[in-house]
Amino acid sequence: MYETGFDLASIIMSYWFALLVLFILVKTVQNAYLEYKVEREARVGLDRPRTMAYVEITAPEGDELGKRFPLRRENILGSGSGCDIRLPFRSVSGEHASIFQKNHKAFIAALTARKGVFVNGEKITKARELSENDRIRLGKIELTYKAVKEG
Amino acid sequence: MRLLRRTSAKALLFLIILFELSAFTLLAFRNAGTLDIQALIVGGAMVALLLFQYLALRAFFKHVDRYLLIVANVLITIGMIVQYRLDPETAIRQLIWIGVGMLFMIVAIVVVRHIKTLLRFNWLYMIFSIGLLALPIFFGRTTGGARNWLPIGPFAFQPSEFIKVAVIFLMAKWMYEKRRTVQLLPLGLFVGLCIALLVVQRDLGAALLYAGTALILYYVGTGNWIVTLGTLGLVSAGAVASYHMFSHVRVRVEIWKNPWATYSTDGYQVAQGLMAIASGGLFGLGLTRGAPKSIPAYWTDYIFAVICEEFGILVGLAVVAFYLVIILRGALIALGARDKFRALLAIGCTTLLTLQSFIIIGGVIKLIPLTGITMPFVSYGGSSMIVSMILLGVLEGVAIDNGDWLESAVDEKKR
Repeated sequence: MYETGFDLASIIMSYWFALLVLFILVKTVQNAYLEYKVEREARVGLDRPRTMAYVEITAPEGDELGKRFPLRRENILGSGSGCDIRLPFRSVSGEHASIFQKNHKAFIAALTARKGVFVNGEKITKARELSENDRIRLGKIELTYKAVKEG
Repeated sequence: MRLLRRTSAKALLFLIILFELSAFTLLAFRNAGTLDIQALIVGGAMVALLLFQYLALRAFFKHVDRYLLIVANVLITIGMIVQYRLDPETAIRQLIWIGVGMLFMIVAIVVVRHIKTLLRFNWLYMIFSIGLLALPIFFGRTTGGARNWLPIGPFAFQPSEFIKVAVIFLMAKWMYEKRRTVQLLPLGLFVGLCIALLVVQRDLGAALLYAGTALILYYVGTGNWIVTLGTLGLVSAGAVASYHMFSHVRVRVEIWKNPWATYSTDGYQVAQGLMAIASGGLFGLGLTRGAPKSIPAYWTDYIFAVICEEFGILVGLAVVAFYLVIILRGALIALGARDKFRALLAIGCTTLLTLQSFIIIGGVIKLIPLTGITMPFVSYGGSSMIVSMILLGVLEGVAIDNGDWLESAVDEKKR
């Protein structure tokens, strides 16, 4: 049936090659996924803040008054559905501001120029450090920044 | 920090080496009665190269993305085996290009980590890119209907291959620094001009690749779907216009619709490729038992058909899946990147590598009209191999940067 022994060997080897390549593929995907999981855990651990900081809605009067949002390493504040801290109000932009940690300090930066971000009544133009009880105003919403030290 | 890197990739590398060695041993016996020592030497050299690359990278860069490396090595290995089976002399040249490519990869890794200062003269690079892309129009050599090769002494290279890397870097830089759509207009003009030059050279595959990559990168960078859709509409309109304006585009589309109608003339390549894939079946005819030389451009653009014919469609599908793994790893690298510039670089390189492979694989399997372009890591070609390696190097550079950053952050947290 086969002209030479070589042809037979070649055909048998074709199964071997297919098996080997598919095995490498499956193993690569599996290993890559495992590594991704390990790495994600490491990142999630990083996201946990050193201080238990949060922002609380302090104005206006309404159902949302007094609602607290714990802060992570990076937080996007806005009315959009993808925001970390979602403020579904018409006066708040889709992505309005961000509060982030740098060198164990919290900073706030505006993400939109149009509506503005006010800290203690001042409009901020660049990233500004937050301190305890700072009042942050986004649109008609006022938030108060609270940092509770660990222990 | 054993926590981060504990799963084993070395075992996978040894499987690749096993694959390589068994294939080359088989090839060594293909001439009845004589043992082809050269095959064993080439196979051994390839193994040495793979081991050297992997071990050297692991030694110098702790956080190198090993799975990207494994995927690239599998693709290179498959390409190398097929090249040697087709023509030993081309394979030896390919081996040299792989070695050169690996050096370029290391250079790319080092350069990417200090890239921002180098990119300060971006206007200069833009003018240079346009100039280099325009050169083949005047001094170029025509192959396969496209005037895109630039001869320099004994060598010839494709400027479009190298400029695509520059385009990625420039796009990433501009979109990192400038946020408003209006400010990005010069960049749009630059990319548009590049694509126009490629169309003039009749290098439609490269034009499609540039346009697709630029659009994806723009959307990823800005999230502005109005402009993206508008540009997509513009590009589509351009494609329709070129269908009516140029006869060679019309011919390509006709072939795509029915390659059998013009089997003896224009449709020959596509029809032959389809027959080769079909004759391979699930597990292939067996190495050396097919007739790949009946397909025009079997060693570059049509190598996917050869793989399917001799290794079978299962291996062909695995090749596609390996490109998908590149997308996944590339996206993860981009997500973990420290800043938007690096994220955009990673996404750009991933898009270039994978979009290019899908344009050519899609063409070969008659999913889209065929446009001549090489298959990254697999096809024969110096320019193509070096550029693929550079793109891989950029991705690895960003990955190493991520790893270093994550490790220092975790260590700091522990203290």
